[in-house]
Amino acid sequence: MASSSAIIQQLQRGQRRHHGLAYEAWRMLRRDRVAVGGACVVLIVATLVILAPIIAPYDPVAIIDSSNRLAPIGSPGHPLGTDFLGRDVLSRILWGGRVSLPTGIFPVLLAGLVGTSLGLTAGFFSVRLDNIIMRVLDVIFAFPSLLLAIAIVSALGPGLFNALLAITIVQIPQYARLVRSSVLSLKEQEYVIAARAMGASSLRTVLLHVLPNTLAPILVYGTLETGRTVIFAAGLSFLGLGVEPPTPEWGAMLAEGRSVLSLAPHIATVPGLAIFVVTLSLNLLGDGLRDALDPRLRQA
Amino acid sequence: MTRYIIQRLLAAIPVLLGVSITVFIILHLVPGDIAYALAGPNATQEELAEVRRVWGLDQPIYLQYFTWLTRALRGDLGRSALQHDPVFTMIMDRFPNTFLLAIASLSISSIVGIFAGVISATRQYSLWDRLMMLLALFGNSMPSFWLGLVLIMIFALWLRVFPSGGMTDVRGAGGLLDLLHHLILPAVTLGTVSMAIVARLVRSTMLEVLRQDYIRTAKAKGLVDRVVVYRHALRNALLPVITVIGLQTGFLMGGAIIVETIFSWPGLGQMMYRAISSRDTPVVMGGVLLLATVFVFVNLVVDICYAFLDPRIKYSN
Repeated sequence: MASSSAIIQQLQRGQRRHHGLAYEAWRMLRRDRVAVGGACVVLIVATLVILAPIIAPYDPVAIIDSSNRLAPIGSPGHPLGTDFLGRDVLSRILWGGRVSLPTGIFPVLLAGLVGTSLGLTAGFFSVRLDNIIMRVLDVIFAFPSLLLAIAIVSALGPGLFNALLAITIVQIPQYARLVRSSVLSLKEQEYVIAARAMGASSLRTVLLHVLPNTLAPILVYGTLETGRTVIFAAGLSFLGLGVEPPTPEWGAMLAEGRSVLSLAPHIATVPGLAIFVVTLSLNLLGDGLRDALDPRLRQA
Repeated sequence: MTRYIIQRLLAAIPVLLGVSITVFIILHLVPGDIAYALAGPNATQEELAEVRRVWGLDQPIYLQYFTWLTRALRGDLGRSALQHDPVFTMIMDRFPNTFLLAIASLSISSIVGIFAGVISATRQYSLWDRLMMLLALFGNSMPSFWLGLVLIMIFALWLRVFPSGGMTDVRGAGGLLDLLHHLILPAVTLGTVSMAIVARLVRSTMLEVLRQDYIRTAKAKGLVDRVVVYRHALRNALLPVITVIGLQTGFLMGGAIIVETIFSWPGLGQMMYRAISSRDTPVVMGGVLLLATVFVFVNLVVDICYAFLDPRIKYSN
């Protein structure tokens, strides 16, 4: 029979390991040079677009010199050339990021928040509530997401707000499913049963004991989803359902460059490259986070 | 097995009803008088009255839904607000072209993705593995609308080996070869993301399967590597991949709108893009309803195939 001091030591070890999980994940992530590289690129791009009003050489919507249209990359005064109206491509890329990056981030945050709340509610509370929530979300999930977003935006009318709303709606079911499946297994865990037996309210149990343990998969999924959402939002703008001209946005810029592809390929390729670099970096960071937070992979 | 198939078919009915209700609700999100959205911006008073009568717009909302659903089930999705052609006929004229493009890109993404995944898994941490996974990562991060334009620039404008767009009839002068010639660039563009996803998934499932005892037993029996990998390991590793390939059809349908627009491929996607640009609501909603229905059926077929391939599923049901 183990002595009380041995039990206390064991408990302390357990506690230390529990606290150590987040720390160890962080340590692993820091050691993953590819993931850190991805995070650095995202940070650099974010800093550049935040500083756009200071560092952009020109007004992104102003026609600087209408005689200097379609200037190629490396032209004097225009490092990334000019577009079909003579606007500076570098300035438009920097300002465009101020729309494209948030349209990748905000729907993920909002859909994550709503989806997590729905998933927690569906998984933890009554079966009836679970059935109602999940059947409604199943219907949204039954649509190809881009198609549903297109339907919503074309009904509400093109515009950034409607595009953000549509992207958020189509992403909610994925988070709800992810969280619900975690909650269903977590609520049978002994520590959750113990918390309830000690008189903790359902809300307290969900917020303090269940939610923290569902955060790791949400974090990984959300990071990977941010990259996909940047592409998704740019795709809507490419179809003319996002921002209205002349507001610079990467997807819309790409669509503008399509018509002059043979004359000035840089107009379409530069914004596409920006989307690609940001998405790739977010995917690298997401992969790194997944490896760091998934204990099974860590053991392997 | 029959019971399982019937169960799956019955389960699809409420989903399809839900899909129809969602499309109907979205249709009613159109700001202002919905009759204008359905009849087009230049409609006369008579045309508006006709639309109100046909769609039952003066009736309570639930009756409007049943009127709309009954007509949709009969293949009547209204008329295009601009061309005044029946939406169902417009869709059916273009559906084979989109189907061809989707099948071509699904085939490319599945074959290349599975092959790349197997090579990566059997040569884990080798140069090939790293190269394949790097390409898969790139493919997964690449917007199809950008990739399409880059492929047009390289292969159509600079090298001039493929046409930049359009589609030819298989009965035309060029025959099947000319059709394939036009199909390759859009199919590769549409299939690249799925290819990357399939490659990554096959690699991880293969790595898991290759560590199983029965693989060791197969090797111990003296079977050659190729038989072990393709006949024993891949067959089991492919099960989750089939689900993902099924889910990718949804992605392909959404992506088709973008890719068909870039390559002027005369399919449903291009028709919907034009309808979106000209705010032709009946065509957009008709296309969405049809593609979502196809997606539900594809997933149904995948579920049934899955049960055929994995006996554990039908026994658990």
